[in-house]
Amino acid sequence: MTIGRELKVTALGTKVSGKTTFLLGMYAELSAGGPHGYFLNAPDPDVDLDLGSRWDRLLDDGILPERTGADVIPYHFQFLDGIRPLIDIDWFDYRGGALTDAVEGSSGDVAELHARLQDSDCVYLVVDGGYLVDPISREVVRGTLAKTGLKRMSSLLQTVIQKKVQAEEPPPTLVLLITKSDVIPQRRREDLTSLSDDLRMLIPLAFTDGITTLVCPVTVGNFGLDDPSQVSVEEIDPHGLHLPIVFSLAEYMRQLALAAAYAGTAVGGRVAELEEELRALNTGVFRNRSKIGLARTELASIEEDQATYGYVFEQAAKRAEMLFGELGGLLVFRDGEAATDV
Amino acid sequence: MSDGTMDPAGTAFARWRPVVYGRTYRADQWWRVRPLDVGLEWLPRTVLDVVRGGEGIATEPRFVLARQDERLLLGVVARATRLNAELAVAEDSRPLYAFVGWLSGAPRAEVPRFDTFERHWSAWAGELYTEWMSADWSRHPSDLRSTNQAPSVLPPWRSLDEGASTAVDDPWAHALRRTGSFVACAQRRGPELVVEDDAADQRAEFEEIAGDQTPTHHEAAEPTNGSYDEGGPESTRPVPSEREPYDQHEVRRRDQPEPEPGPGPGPGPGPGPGPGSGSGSRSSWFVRKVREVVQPPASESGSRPPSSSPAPAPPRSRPAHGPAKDLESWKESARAEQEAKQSRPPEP
Repeated sequence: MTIGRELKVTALGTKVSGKTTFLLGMYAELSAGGPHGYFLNAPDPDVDLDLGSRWDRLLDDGILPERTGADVIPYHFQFLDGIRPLIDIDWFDYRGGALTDAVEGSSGDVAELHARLQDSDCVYLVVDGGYLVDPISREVVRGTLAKTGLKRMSSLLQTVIQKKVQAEEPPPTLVLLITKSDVIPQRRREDLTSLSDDLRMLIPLAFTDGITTLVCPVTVGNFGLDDPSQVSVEEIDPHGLHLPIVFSLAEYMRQLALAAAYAGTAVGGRVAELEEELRALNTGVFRNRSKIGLARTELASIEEDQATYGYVFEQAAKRAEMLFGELGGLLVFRDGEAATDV
Repeated sequence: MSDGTMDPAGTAFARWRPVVYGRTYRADQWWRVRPLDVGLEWLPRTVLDVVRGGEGIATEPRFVLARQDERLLLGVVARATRLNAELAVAEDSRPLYAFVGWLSGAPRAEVPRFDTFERHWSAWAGELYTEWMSADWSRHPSDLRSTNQAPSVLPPWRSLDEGASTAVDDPWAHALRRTGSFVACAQRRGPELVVEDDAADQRAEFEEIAGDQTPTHHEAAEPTNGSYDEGGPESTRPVPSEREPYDQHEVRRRDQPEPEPGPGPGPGPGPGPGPGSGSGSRSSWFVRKVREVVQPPASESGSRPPSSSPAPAPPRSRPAHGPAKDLESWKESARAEQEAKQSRPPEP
């Protein structure tokens, strides 16, 4: 069952960047209960079981999820406030190789990825933390761009944003998701300003006018630079896996609050018009009762709308504030500037 | 073994073509070889469905037999190490998995008996895997932009004469006797062999076996001349009617809801087996096996079990992008919430 409002999220990343492991961890963290009583739930019990058992296999035996084949795997989640469903989350998983394949190639997942990207409300650019261990200098930018896939991601995003601008649609919100951040030295990992400066060199598009971006290091455990199929169970220590989706929802709520405020203001203009009209109708000796009745009915209905938009605004703003509060310490960039008041 | 589809060269098996799906050491690109002909769009979809992301094959391979659009596919999903231990681990040390199979242009081409295939699969599929994988194994991803077009090959079982898989006791027999499209998977689970016919549509299959007279969307469109459960000789097989368009036969993905019944031949008494015809001593091996795997309903009176699939969501007419698109939906929810609050009796 769908709620009728949806957040479409697409994670872009090269092979072995950790997209699938991140998905499993994110679901595990939030399906058990996230901040302030929020939950993420897969309404299909088989999907819930599948995601849960793959995560458990990692926790119990240290076995990372199987590689994703040339198939796109769509996931439908619901984000709930307690037991109240708030919004559908539309997610899909795919092999990293699809990022660099041609649309005209023989694998159908590439065309699907491109079409979906154009439709996404939020795009996660998944960057393997192994490439950010040392500060990025101008000499290594080119190599790092190729290895992280950021060059390709930037090009794809540029196309998406251009099309959105032409269609007068808002650009997607971005998350620079640094996976395997355990390999980044702690001092560097905690200095997000410096890390963000490096990312700005690699993907300036994420720090330009009209774009909102979260920089978010996450980790599943302290596995080091090796990427074996099996990891040490003792080293599993997930951190921050729920934060990207919390940010996506916070940003959604912020934009919803703005939309409700605009709608309320527009309706308010009509209320003033009708009140003026009623004053005029009630003046003079001969009064048109029929017209007065119609205007009063319309006014009552519009005032009700105005009150409802006000309620939506309040609720959305409250939720946005609460969710943004969860991101303590992370940096959100609006129009390229670190936002102090998100 | 002849399927009556001799090619001009007179070779009964010349119409089989290789299908190999598995990534290489360096490249996250999975298709090594497959027929790329127009009209074979179902093939990659079917392979991806049966591969299931490499899940469930850690100890035993999954054998696959599928028919669609006048083609027959026989293959196996397995850990790559069972196919060629030297072409089994990618550069990040993770073990690989693969699908290796053969596609025939003759929908009733004879395939080896299941036990024969089970005995020889490792050698047969291993040879094909090695041939196509070794050519691409170490190549740079940029050199692997396209999939190889599959040539015609002689199937490895050509020299065997161990009987046809249509024999009554063969696990593939049930599927092969069907007139329409199907996807059948077989896998050892401990001492037991579990067969799923139309893995993506088990409910429909179950209903047939449970004795429900309602034809499935496969059977309803293609009347049969008799019950598949009776295992008649090959000569009595119903002749397939004109094929349905591809989209009516499309194998559903695991995550897709069941399609709603269309305006075609709706529920009603069909040509399938009647109540009880799939039970008792006349039951085929397959029917008994599926009964073991899928729990039958308490009553076999013919009543259809309630569908667990939700109805498809109504089309949305709202704009496609941004949270503003959802504003009206939020407004409705807010109204309902406020009304609920107002109608709640005051607390004492």
